[in-house]
Amino acid sequence: MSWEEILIKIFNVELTHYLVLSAVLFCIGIMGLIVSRNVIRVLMSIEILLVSININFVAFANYTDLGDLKGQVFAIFIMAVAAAEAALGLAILLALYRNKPSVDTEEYKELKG
Amino acid sequence: MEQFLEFFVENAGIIPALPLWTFLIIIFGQNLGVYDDKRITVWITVLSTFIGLVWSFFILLWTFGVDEPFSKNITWLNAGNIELSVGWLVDNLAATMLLVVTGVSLLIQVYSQGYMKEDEGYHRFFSYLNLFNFSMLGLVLSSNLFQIYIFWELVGVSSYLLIGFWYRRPSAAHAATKAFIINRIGDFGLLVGIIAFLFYSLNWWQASGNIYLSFTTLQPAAQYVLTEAGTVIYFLIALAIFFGPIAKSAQFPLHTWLPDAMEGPTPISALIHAATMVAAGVFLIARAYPIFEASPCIMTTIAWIGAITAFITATIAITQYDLKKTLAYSTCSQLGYMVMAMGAGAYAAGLFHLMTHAFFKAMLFLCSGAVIHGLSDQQDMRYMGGLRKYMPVVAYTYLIGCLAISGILLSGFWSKEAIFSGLYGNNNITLLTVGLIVALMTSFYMFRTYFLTFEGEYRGQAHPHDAPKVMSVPLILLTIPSALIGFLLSGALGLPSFDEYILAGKDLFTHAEYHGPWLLPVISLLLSLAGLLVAAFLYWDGLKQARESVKITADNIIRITKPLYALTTNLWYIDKLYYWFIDDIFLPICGFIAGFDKYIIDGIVNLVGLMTLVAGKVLRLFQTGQMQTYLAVLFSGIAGLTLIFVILQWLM
Repeated sequence: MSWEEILIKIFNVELTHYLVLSAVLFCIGIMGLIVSRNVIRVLMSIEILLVSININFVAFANYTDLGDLKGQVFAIFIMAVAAAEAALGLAILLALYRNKPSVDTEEYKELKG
Repeated sequence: MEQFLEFFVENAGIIPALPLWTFLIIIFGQNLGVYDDKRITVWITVLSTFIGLVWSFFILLWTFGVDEPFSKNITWLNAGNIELSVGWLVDNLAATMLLVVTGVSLLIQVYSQGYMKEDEGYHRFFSYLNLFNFSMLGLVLSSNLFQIYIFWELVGVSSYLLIGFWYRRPSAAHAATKAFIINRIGDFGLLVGIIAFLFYSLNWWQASGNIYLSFTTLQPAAQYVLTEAGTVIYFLIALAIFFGPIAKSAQFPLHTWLPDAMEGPTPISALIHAATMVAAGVFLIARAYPIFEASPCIMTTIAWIGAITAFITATIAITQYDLKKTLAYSTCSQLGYMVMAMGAGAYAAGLFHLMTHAFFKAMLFLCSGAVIHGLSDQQDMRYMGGLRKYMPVVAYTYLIGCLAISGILLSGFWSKEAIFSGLYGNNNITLLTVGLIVALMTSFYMFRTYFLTFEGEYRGQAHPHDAPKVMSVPLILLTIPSALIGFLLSGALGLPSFDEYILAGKDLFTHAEYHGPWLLPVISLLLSLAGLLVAAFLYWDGLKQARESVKITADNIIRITKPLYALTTNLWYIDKLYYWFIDDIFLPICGFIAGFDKYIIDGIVNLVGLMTLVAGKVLRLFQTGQMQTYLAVLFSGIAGLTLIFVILQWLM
């Protein structure tokens, strides 16, 4: 096998690879959501979830829907929404922090029945 | 003159309307505090009844000149095929009853002025009295069965209100409830009967275009129902209708409310529970006579119910010591006479007795009221005696009443004689015998009350005082019809006889107005005299030595006839039977059903509620409030579902 072939083998990235990356990121995000007690971390995990979904979108768009850019546009939308969500989430968090000086999610259970 | 009289007949509705207006004036005047003068109340009441009396008198004059009854109707309800009307029907029967009701009412209202003077519920009393007058006059003028049912219920209500007039007394409240409930039984039967009759005759009314259930066309309608429904069903319908009179006219087996109704003020006992309302049952039989006479079975039933009532209540009246209760049982007994006469086909005789009875029984009750009033509410005859010295007017009027009811030459004699000859003419020898025996007993117990109350020595503690003028004048006025009306209307004087008048324009099947042999009145008169003599022998102080010398005194007779005496003092155990039935059978069943409802039906409902409650409590435990837990469950759920999906895909 020549170098060229090896390089092609290595850099010939297919759809599956993107999807695996996306799934791994998604699982990391969920893991972060479930295990972290710090609210900031939770917000970060959500960002990771969104990023993994963006990768999914763009990958599908690139491999199945060439020239139409629907997936890419959707990814841009999600980024915008994620930015807004981060801003809003942090604002809520600040308001929450003023009432209860803690960032631990375990402490936030006033609404429990 | 004709047109002048016609005006009164065409506006006959004013007679019941006047007391209704008076009732409203008193109720609103009192509750809104417009006036507080007792004189206004009594004057407007008496005035409205007096106008009614004059009006009825003109109506009576009108009926002499015409053959056809007058009827005026307006449609009231229009429901599908059924078209019900209200209106008034003026015929000879209605005219007679109007005169009796307004006349007796007027005198009793004047009397009540004296009787109720000290009572705090004075205005309430007169407003109820007007309500009753409205209902009773409306009942008399009703033009159809449907309308008569409405007023039938209204008289029941006013009777209830007046029996329970002194509602703070438990006994009065109990008596009022009892009267109401027992009357409900009868009213229910009546309603079922009317509806069943209407159901079977609906086509006939539609085809003929007559006023639905109108009394004037009841005869062909009854014939139609008879062919449509068959004899057995027809008998049941008529029996259901007869239930109304059984309860309202206090016939066996529903007579037990009437003696208890004596808890009301005495003028009420006189007006409602002796003269007018209880006669409404007999009036209804007369109005619905075509229905009854189409079925011989129901006629026999009616006659026997009347005979049984007359006999049983007369035996009870013999052993009573309460003056008013004796009179109450006597009323039951006399009503039994009327119903018996109706059932035996002596239509006019029954109504004749109704009329004479209204006068003399009202008078007897008013006398007893004067006695009770004069003795400060003492009703027991064992604590009376010798009252003739203290209240002579009352004593003599009472004596006239006794003679009248016993059938000794005064009005009761003529009406009873009419009943007896009717029974004789119809070959009802058994019923005739019962009637004669009851006549003997009537005379005995009435004179027993007279001797115990007015003769001999005074045995009580109170200080008797005579009745005031406002009470004694109505008594004296009532003696006139009590004594004379029977003779005047018997046809003996050349005046129009009651029989001819009431039967004019009537086409009855079972017409039994015979004139019996001359022996019959003689026998009834002799029996009545015998009753008088026995009562005098046992209870008159003038014969004290005679009866003690032969050792036949009331006490001795009671000792000898112990079981019989116990039977009648216990009211033939009818009341006890009812209470036993209600307490030991009816209420336990009700209790069981109530328990079923409470524990089983409600239990199921509560169980459903409890289940959701418990489910909520359990599910609540899962809501920890920790975000991590929720997320873990959420995503493991998704992962699990995906896994299942994948496995299924793989298996396919």
